[in-house]
Amino acid sequence: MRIMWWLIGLLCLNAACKSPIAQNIQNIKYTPAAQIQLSAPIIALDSVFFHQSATLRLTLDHPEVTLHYATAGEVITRQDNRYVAPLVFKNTQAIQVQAFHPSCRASEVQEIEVVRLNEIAKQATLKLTPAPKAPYDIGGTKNLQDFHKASTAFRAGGWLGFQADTITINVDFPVIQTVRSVGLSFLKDHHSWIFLPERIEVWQDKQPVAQVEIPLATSKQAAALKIKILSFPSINTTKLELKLIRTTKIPAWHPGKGLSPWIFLDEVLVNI
Amino acid sequence: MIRRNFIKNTSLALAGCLLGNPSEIWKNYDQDLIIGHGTHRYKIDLNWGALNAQYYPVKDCHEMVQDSQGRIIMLTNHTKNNVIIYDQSGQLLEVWGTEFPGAHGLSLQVEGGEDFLYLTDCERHEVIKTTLTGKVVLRLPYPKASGKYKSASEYLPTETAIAENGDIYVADGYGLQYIIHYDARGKLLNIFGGKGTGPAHFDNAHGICIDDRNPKNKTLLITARQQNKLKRFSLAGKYIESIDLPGAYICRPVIHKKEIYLATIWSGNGSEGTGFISILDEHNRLVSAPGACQPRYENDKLQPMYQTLKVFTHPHDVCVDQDDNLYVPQWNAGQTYPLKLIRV
Repeated sequence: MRIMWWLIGLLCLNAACKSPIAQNIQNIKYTPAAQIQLSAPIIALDSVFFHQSATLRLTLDHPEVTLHYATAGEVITRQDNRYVAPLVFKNTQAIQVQAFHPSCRASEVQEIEVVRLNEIAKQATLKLTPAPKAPYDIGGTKNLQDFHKASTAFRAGGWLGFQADTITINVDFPVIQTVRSVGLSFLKDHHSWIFLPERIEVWQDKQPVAQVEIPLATSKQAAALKIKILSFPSINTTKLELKLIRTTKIPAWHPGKGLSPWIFLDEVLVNI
Repeated sequence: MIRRNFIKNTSLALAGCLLGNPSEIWKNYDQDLIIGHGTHRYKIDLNWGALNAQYYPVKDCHEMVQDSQGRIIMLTNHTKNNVIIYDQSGQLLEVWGTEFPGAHGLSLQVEGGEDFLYLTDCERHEVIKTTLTGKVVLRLPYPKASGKYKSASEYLPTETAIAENGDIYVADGYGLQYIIHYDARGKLLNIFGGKGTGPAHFDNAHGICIDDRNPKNKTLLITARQQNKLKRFSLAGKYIESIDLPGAYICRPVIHKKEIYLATIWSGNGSEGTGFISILDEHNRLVSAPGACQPRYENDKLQPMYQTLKVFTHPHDVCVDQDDNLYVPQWNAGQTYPLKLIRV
């Protein structure tokens, strides 16, 4: 019986190989699953900005995929923190998520931050120097104070896009405020030449209050929403000056190397 | 069909050869990634159209068609070789074209037994009809006579569709969003659509084709890409219906047998690098989405689509050959060449 199957098999193989199409088929190197990467999990949040709590849901509808997350910046593995039900957060928190599959490559790590709100920034007047560049100027400073998080689709609106080496944001409060932190919400989308600033500075009365350096990415990363928070000893003031210093040139690993990147901003937050 | 039979035959042959350990057979078979759903599933040849970029460079690979000889013709906006012609195994046959810096749309029509190409060029602001060897036989500049355009710069045509009688429909997908209807000689007959959110208007009327699946009632299918909709019009320009494809930023519709194939350049919320392929059945329902999640309908409404596998970056068109294999050129994908999906 086994010999018969061998003969049938060899006959079929011989017949197939005589076809002219077979010559082409033999040359095809099909792409193995191990060569293909999963897409990042789809993140659904009831709101990035919240007063009581934020609920996060993850999905990636593909057979055998498992979703995992981290909340302390640790490396995610397929053994840890498997997502099985919606996650509820009651404080400002950064969350990283990643998808795994037995054959395909793991997805890029997707990051999201949820922010417990304080209304102080809504009362302030903002002045931008220079102004955002068209067509990414729609909505003006209202965009920065609406507590509505724009998406990673930068064309969908909600963002202000800047093409300048230094962007200055003057924040004027109507009455003296006790301020202890400032948050700035950015888009990082290397594919679209949108980078985070190289440095953020907070000034009061021409005195530096706080600054943060942001390391330049050394390789292309997944598009992500990033909220940079600068905390400092409390100050009583009616004015703050925020400076965003741009990476002067797109790094060498990027197709746009040597050119100037964009900065995309969608919220200015105070005391988060 | 021949090729699919061959794959089945080969699989059987291998099965026969290795019958002593059948689990190994299917384990090895599954090493190749298969994408898509239901009856429309594919293996992938990422290197199908790869050429030496030093001699045959590409920028964006925009569209592809198959000619009457079975050859696969690809249009790129690289002016060293705007038109690249392959055989179905991905071997280079010839190149031509150096004068189409905004080359975007490519349609093929057989007229009097001869194949003709219709190119749209967004930088030249016109449609160009050529022979298969690149001889220009007709040019359609911006439709000044329509009264809708102040200057040529407002006209950025992305696609053409040619009716059986030779009438030409042009989609101004990157311009003012009108559909312009000419006769075969280029005489303006009608203009409709335009930018807007109403049913008969468009936001990115990127692609157009003649839906001839019902020979007694041929219609136009036009994409409203930013609206995630495929809109049907009569050949006279009257709006008929919309097909909702939430989460699918579709390029041009391609009719093949009873199905509609659409390269889907972005998905989900429209983020970069999230493309996939959409395949609709004869009832215009999404039945397979290679590179994306399983299409699901709830209360007859398609649930939002999104990419699950990074097979594609920005697929811009689909060419379907006689064996139902797909050839996919991509926009803004690192100057890479088209890939092929082999139906299994």
